Amino acid sequence: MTAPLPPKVSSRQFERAIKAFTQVVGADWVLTSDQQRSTYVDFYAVTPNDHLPSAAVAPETVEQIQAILRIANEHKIPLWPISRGKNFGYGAAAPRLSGSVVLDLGRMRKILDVDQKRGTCLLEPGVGFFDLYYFLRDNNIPLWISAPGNSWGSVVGNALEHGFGYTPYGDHAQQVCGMEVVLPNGELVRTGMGAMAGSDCWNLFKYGYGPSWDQLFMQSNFGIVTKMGMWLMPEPEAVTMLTMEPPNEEDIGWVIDALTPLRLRGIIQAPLNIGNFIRVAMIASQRSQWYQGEGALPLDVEEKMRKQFGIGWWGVNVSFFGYPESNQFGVKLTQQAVSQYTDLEFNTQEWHRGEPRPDATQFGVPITFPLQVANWAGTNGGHVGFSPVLPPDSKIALEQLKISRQLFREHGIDYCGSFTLHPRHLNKVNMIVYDKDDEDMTARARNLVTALVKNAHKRGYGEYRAHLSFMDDVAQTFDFNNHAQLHLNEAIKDALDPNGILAPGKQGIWPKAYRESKS
Amino acid sequence: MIHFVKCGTCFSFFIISCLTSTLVFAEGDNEQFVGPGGKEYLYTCGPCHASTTTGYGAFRLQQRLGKEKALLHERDDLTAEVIRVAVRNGIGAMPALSQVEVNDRQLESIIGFLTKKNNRILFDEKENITKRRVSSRGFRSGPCQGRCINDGF
Repeated sequence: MTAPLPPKVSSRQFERAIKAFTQVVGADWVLTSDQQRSTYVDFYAVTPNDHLPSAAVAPETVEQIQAILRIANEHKIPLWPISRGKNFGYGAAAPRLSGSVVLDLGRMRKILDVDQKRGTCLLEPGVGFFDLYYFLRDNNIPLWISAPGNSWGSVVGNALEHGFGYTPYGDHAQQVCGMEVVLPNGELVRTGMGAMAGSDCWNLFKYGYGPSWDQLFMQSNFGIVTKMGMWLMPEPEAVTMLTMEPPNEEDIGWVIDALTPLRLRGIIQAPLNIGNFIRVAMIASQRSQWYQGEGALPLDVEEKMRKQFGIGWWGVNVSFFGYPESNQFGVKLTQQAVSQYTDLEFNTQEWHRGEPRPDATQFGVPITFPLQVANWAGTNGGHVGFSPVLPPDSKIALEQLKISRQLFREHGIDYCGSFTLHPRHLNKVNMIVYDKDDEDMTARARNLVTALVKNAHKRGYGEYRAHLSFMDDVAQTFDFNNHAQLHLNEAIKDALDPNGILAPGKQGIWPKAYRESKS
Repeated sequence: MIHFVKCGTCFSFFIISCLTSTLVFAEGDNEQFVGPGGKEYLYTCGPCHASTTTGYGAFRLQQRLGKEKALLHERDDLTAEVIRVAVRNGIGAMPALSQVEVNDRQLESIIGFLTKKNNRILFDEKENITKRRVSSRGFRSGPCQGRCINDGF
């Protein structure tokens, strides 16, 4: 693997920068060999050669980050900050711009504070969901994390990318309260109440005084987050879980119509993921066990899988968090809502505080095995996500399901999707799974994402997050008033980062120097 | 008490990616991951390998090789080379791990932890040596770039 240089940087200039980085962090933490760089590529890449790092550098302190930024500004070296590099399906640790130096913050892995009384924590970016889970559990602190479907990654990184989990604190960006950020010029800023030196309220009140900047540093390239306050959920007295498996594809319509009013009113407190039997099959088996022909799985093979597993088309899991009595109220309202549409009945399970916690994200337990889906199409599996935001409405959900199923089929890729219901929006989560050893399939997967982006845009729907290879495409779909928001982002980028060294191209935001060379 | 409900499939034990759920509990706490390499294993490999009910790697190994080979820390047939290559190159859908995630010193410590059982069997349980050798035949030596050890890992 030849190391790509950053654009417009000579090898001599690059070597000088590497030498200077080494003086800051020590030789062990400047990673330049082929093997070392290979650990920062997108392992599941849909475009494997488009996002290659030139090196990685791993600081341990804010001061080292500031020194690295000084060097990067001097030598015009683009840096790509990562927390733990587990942004799977969206690019993992790889940089948007080939030749960037990955700024790996994985050594900054301290849990700086947990306030049991107020339900807050203060974390460095390298802290993983498992780290925080073990810490709380082993110290008998009755606070729960909210973990995403694949919980291998960083708590801070996931929140910055607008990730979500499955407890009432499942909207992770909303739990952020106060950041410490190093700006591209090296200046250190604390947001919210943290802007007051010595404030005890940094992680208690989000807005501070004047404009609130936390959102500015999410899904952006305006600063490097070195500390983040997060709110944690007090352990509930009881969790009551209702489960049901509607048998037909079109049942997703009434499920959404029945449950959305309860989500809106806060009766259903947590993001509600509604998966289907295809995803079960993709995790529990491999494609070759069912079908070895060309193209997407035929419908009759899908049906055969469903019958063999003996499960419904959709899986609905509604959990209530609180006290047994309050949970029962939610159970009653949910049963009433659903009974207007179906004779199916929910199964009920209940957990009480003090009992062992089940291994499930609803119980604040991190998991990684959904990654298994990557093995579906072959043993060298890849996957990429496409998740547009929709209004929570049966007609729209069914229409988008039909169109995406059709687009998957046209591209010869097996459909894998689910819906996640939030109070006022519905996220249609599509997983595009392919075999990296099959170049044709990988190319079809890439084309499928492009088609899905275009199709959603036609109806005015956009993604909440995007893989590196599609960041520009998705940014272009946010086109009100001739892409006025992108121009605003570019103006801020140029003001904060005049040399354009920090994560060029992230979320389609390119600094001036790169915009000029592109046009 | 938890009220168990049997669902349609044995695969339905997890929430996010399966249909509905039968609650399943962790396979034990972290007390077994002590001593040199134990903690490193838990924090570095544990998210995927410490439990078949939460971890991708353990789940996948159970699917491919059976329950007795699902958990790396219970295996007696892993070699240092197999572990080293899998960690640094990735294997199957397991991504490679960087020096930041696990540096060479920590990796050697993890290797010591995971191969501890091999030695005990070699020296203390002579009757099992034959069995161990047979079970090791799946491994190949030499540079294999990760993927050729699929059969054994």
